[in-house]
This record gives sequence, structure tokens and C-alpha cells, in this order.
Amino acid sequence: MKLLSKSEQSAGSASLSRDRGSRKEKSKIGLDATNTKTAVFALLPVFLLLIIFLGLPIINSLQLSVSRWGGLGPLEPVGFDNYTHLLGDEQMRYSSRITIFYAFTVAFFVVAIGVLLASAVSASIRGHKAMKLIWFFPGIAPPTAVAIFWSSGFQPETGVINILLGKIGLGNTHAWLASSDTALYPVIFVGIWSAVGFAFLVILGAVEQIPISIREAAIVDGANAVQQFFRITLPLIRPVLLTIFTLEIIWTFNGFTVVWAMTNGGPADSTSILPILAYKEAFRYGRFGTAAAMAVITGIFLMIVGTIGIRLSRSEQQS
Amino acid sequence: MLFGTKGTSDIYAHPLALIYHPSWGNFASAWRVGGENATIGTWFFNTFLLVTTALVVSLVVAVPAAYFTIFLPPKINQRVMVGVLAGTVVPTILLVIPYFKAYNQIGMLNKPIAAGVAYGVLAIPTTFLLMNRFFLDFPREVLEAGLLDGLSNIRIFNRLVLPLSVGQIVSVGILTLIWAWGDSQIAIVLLQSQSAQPIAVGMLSFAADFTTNLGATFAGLSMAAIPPVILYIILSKYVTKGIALGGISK
Repeated sequence: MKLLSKSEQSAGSASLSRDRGSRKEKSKIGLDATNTKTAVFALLPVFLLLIIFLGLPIINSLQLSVSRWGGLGPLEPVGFDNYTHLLGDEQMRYSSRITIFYAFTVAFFVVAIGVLLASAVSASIRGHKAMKLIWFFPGIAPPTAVAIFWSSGFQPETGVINILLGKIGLGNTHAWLASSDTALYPVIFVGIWSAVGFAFLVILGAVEQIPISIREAAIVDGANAVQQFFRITLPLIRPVLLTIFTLEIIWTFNGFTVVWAMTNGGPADSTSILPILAYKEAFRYGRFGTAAAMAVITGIFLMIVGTIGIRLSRSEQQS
Repeated sequence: MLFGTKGTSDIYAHPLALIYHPSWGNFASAWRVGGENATIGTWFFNTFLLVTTALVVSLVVAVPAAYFTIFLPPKINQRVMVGVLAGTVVPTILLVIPYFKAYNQIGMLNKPIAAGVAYGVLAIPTTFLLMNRFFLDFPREVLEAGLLDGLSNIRIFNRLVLPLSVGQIVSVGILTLIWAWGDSQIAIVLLQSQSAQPIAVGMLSFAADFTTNLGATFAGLSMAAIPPVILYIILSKYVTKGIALGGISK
């Protein structure tokens, strides 16, 4: 949902100013001047609402993160106690590790599968539209429904996956979701499954923008399909891949719904990624202060990932 | 989704068999039971309230703003873009605790419409950026013609620009709809009582109650998924275009 906006930053702003410059010369009868006042009025509610629903809550979270608060009454300032406590907390360290592992694994496979699908679909002309439609379906179905559906698929004996494994002689009693050692893998699988559709559509858009002449030249030069993929497609869509990889990391890192619906963070907090750990800390144990500190740490990490991602894709585009 | 019409015993006996006797009773029982204080019907109604509010808030606020911003000097326009952009990367977990605190203070917990306002505001940045992008490419000749005909700026927007932007508005709207329909992170905090929950949160308790009745669970899941999927099939033309316009590919 929050997707496209991000890319605007890397791709949009530069072309934007150019467009505006050339247009401005064309319109000489003062459309711009007469609309400026209206623009200020129209923007006012946007900024007010964003300040109320984004700015103030962030300040509030920062304040909560240096306080103790049980859900009622005034905040009790405790300095950086929440942070120092979290630094030494075994569960916090474990959760940070698996959150990073989860986000990077999902993002990597989403992009990889998205690229393969997109190049396969763009190569075949027939069924093109239907493929677009079908592959985006997992992206539309509500994540809760998808997650519950799949968690039943991973049940021993009765789940679709176990039955399939049983049929090919690998046993049908794997209780992945019941063991803290293995529960993360089904979650990763579903995370990938529900995110691939969107990445596929965006990557397909990029692949289709490669000029046909380049491809034809390669064919004349005798490049086969694999060479075309590695020498032409991949290098040309690299900036898009970087952007979508960054976005997928951010979304998966934030991804509460899939994990919560599949495991509630369990068994024994083995799948508690940071948003889930913070949610439980606040709304199950009533420790809002430490929960806010966890949220702030999550936010800082995402800012770092986002900045690196944007920098990288920007320099890619300029080069 | 086919599972929805299978009997529970059938699912356990032949989970992959496609030939079975459909029992639409599963849908009926899923519709009736739901949870302790709410049925799946209540959750649908709450989702409807939440999503509609989110759509109204995000579109009414962001679309006119996105349009009139194109007339600002490019430098200011760009600053506005950056400011709005910053709003899209804030992690939800950083917001939900303050939301809970504030909504609790003003007595707005467990009200789907109030939660819908939060969803609507969080959809404003994306709506704004996508629409702004679209309006920048809007043919200026049309606007100038309106001006020559003596229409005021607001009339130009209402009579000329809006009717010609329906496609893009639909495409941006459906992205908001899919997100607000499926998200549970904000709703689980702001709508804790079962009778106020949207379907995305309600289903969670639903699945736990129905472990013994897999058929009805799947019926419930498919009912939750059907409305956005149908909308998507009808409007897919717009959605694909909207994503292409989103500029990742440009």
C-alpha cells in the first residue's frame, strides 16, 4: 500500500522539476498565479492531519520510550532505563536477529521469484493478461485469510503440504508450526507467497519498458535466452530491483498481520518479530514504556535501511 | 477457497479431491456463528464502515491538495513531496501505542468509523503522491480552455479535472481499499471488543474457534477474501495502470 510513494523519491523528483519548468513557459495566462492561494488552502488539511496522526504520535512514542506507563495515569519518567534493559534482554536480541533474517530472506526470494516470473511472462505473448491477473491475486486476498489458510496447510497429517510430502514418501507428520526450531520457515514461506504478486507486477512493468530494439540487436548478435536475461534484462532493471528490494524489506520488517495470524509470535516467542514483540509487550503485559522503546528501535533500523536503499537506487539511476 | 464448500469430514478424508458433494451449509454456519458477541455479518459491516471512512478521508483530503499543488512553484512543490513522502515510511508499530492512548482518552476506542479515520489519514501520503504525479501530466490546454470560458479555479477542478480523473482515482482508491480491508495491526489495537472488529481481526478468533470445523473456517476465509478479489477483477485494468504510474518502473 505505501509502496509507490517511496519510489517517487528516487525517480520522481528529478523529472518533476524538469516537467514543470518546460510547462511553465507554455502557460502564460496565469493559471499558476491564480491557483496558488487555493493550493495553500487545499494543502492545509493534509499537513494538519499528517501532523496529528504521524508527527505527534512519533513524539509521543519517543516520550513513552523514556517513561514507565501501565496504560493508565500519568507517565513516570525513567530516563533510558527501557533502552538499557532492552539491550541486555535475550528475547529482544533474538527477536532483532529473526526480524532481520525474516525481512531479508522474504525480500530476497520475493525479488528473485518476481524477476523469474516477470521474464517468463514477458517472453510469452499469449496468456499475458491472465498471468498478470492470477499472480496478483495473493496480493489482494486479506493477509489474515491467507495466513490462516496456510497455517492449516502446514498442519501434520491433515495439512495440504504434509499430505503432498506423504504422497512422495517424505512423511506427513511434520509439525513445523508447533516447534520453535522450525516455526519461522512456514511463516517465511507465507510472507513470500503473499508479497510476490506485487513485486512481479512492478518488475514486469520495468522489463516491458526495455526497448525492443535492444533485444532485437542481441538476437541478431546470436544471444540465447539465458544470455539475454543476464546481459540485458538484469542490468537494465537493476535500479527497479533495488527499490523494490528495499521496499520489501521495510514492509516485511513491519509485517504484523501474517505472523500474528499464523503463530501469534509463538511457540515460545520463536517467531516474535519486533512488531509482534512490541505489541505483546504493550497490550498483553501492559508495559507500554518498553514497548515504545522497541518501536523506536524498529523505526531507527528501518530509517537506516530506507536511507541506504534510496541512496543506492539513486546512484544506480544516475550512473 | 474450494475448501469452503467441503464438509469437515471430507476435508480430513480427501483434502485434495476436487470432486465432492458441496455443502453450502458451511457458508451458512460460518455466517451465523462467528464469535461470542458477533457474527461474521457484524464484522463485514464494521469492515464496510472502516474502509468507506478511510476512502472518503483519504480521497477528499488528498485529491484536491494533489491537484492544486501542481500550480505551486516547482521548488515548493518538491518540498511538499518530500514532506509527504516522509509520512510513508513511518513504521506502524511506532504509531499504534500513541493511537491507543489518544483514542482511549477521547473515548473513541471500539468505533470502526474512528479507526477508519486513522486508516484514511495514513493513506493520504500515497494517495497524494500518486494523484500529484497524475495531475502533473494532465493536459494544460484543458485547464486553460476552462479559464478562457470564465470558470473559476474550483469549477475547473470540479467540472473538468475530476470527471477526467475517475480512472486514476479508482486505481488509487482500490489500493487503499485492499490495504484497509486486510490490515489488522491498527484495528487489533483500536477495535478490541469483538463486536467492533473488522473481518481481518475477527477472523483470528474465528479460526481458533473453528479448529474442529475446518470446512466452516475455510468458508469464512473465502467470504472475507471474495469482496476485494471481485472488486479487483472488475477494476484490474485501473490497478495495473495505477501501479505503472506509481513510477517504480520509471
